Amino acid sequence: MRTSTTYWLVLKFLLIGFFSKAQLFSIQKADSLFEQKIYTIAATEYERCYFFINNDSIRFNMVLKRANCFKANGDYFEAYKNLYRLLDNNLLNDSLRSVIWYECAFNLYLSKYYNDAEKFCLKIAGLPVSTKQSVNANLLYGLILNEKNDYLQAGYKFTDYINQADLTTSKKDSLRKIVAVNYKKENYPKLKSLKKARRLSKVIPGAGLFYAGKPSKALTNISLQLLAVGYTGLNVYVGNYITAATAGIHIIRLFYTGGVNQLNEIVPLQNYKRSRKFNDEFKNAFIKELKQ
Amino acid sequence: MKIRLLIFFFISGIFDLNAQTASDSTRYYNDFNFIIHLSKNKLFTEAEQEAEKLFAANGVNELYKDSVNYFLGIEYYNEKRYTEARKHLVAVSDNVFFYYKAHYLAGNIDAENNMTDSAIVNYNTIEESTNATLNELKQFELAGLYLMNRNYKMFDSLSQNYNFQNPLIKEELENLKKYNIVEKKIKRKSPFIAGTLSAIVPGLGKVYTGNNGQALASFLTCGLIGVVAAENYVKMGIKHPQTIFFTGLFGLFYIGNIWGSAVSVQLVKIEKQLENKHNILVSIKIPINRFFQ
Repeated sequence: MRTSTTYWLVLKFLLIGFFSKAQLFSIQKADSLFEQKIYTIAATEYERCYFFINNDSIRFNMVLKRANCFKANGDYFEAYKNLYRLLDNNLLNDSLRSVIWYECAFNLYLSKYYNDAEKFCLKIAGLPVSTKQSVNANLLYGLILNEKNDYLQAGYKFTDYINQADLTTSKKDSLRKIVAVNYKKENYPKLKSLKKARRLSKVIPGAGLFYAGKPSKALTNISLQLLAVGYTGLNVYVGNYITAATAGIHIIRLFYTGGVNQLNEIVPLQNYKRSRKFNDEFKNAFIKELKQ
Repeated sequence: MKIRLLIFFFISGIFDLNAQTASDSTRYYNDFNFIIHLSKNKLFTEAEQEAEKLFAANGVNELYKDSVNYFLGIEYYNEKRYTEARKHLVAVSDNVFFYYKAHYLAGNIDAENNMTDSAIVNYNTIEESTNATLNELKQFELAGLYLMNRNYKMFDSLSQNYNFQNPLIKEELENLKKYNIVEKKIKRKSPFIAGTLSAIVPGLGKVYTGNNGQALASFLTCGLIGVVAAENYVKMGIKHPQTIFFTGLFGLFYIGNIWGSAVSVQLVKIEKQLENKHNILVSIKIPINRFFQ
């Protein structure tokens, strides 16, 4: 009886100790929340595990999983911010670096921070290892260069990806074909130069708008400027010199500078629409082929 | 045997209770640490959620609640998220030693957000301290806030009757007295005179309010439109649409200029008052920042 009582008491204290510690954190609970797609709470649970666990390797994994929660939730920049915490980690070897840097680049790309995403892709290219992520980084880099309208380099990156990726020969051939068709110089989106458009409009009013592909706006602008010139000329004709010199010149100047300045909005918008169409069509075709 | 069993369960029950209390206390302690970790890493949404859970738990020591409110308030304050900072700082009770810092910072936030009345109420509720400097600080802050509120009677009463000893507070009080004089000297110029002057010569009313640049611009604009209207009147007659248009435009600018001059009198006054208010705010913030940093 004495043995049994002592046994129960010891067991009781051990269990209480165990449960009181178990309440601190639970990786299983966090994983289960992630599987149930309750990402926000799962992220907090992973942070709790990160805070209470002493093992560096597990802590590393917790931050990675936390970043995945944000990524799955569509909060890509928050995911990047969490991955950023791992960049100076002592545990990072070259393989792990390629994983983390790739994830950083990917989340930054999805957050539309293309310049920063590009920096991570360049870093991965400098690593002396070949991992799945370092190969995929070529594809990602190509997509980033597309967004930056650097189509020549983007084409090279997609070719690099096809050469390095672990794919069947027929798949590689069909992907090469897509790249070859899209990345012929004549098939690049026709992007307009803002500088050139402004210069044209300064010399011949409305010409910049024609160049930017907005003929109706160009004709309206030319008509308005002609009306302003006509009004000024009429005032000179009837002898209203002061009116012509002030009101007339002011109206001409207003339409002239307006015609030049509206190019600042029109040209980038036109370029964006054209590049967006090209980038989306290529991305959809390439990824569709890759998944087949 | 039965007695032994009873004794066993009795002792076991007591240990159970103690262990439960100890485990709750450990849990709260760990939750508290976790909230501090979240707030220090600027993970405010998660910190708020965890704080809410901790506050809702039964039997949590008030010290934890105060500490969480204080640390969250300070982190929000450092991030210049003043609304959230204020909410947490005013919730700190006087059971903790950082009560004074929390409430003075909350008062600071109110003063900065032009909620001087709320700041005065907040400072008046601050408990008297055994530390004389803290009590002096309270009186000084109240004096500054009354001045911001243009309650000169209360400002004079506090600044003259209270015996300030701390050199920093004394120095800043002198500054407040200077701002008090400036505040009283801000004269209200007459909108009627400004408008009349602008009616005589467009822009002259703005010279009267001290806006010489605006005066020149008004004079040139009105003058030019007037000349154009006159030219059209002479050459094309009063009934010509162009004459009607320019005369109407001139009338619009002329009346607008008179109206603008009258309004600018009030605007200039408000501008000067805002500048003085800013100086007062800086003065009342300096001692708080020095004492609590």
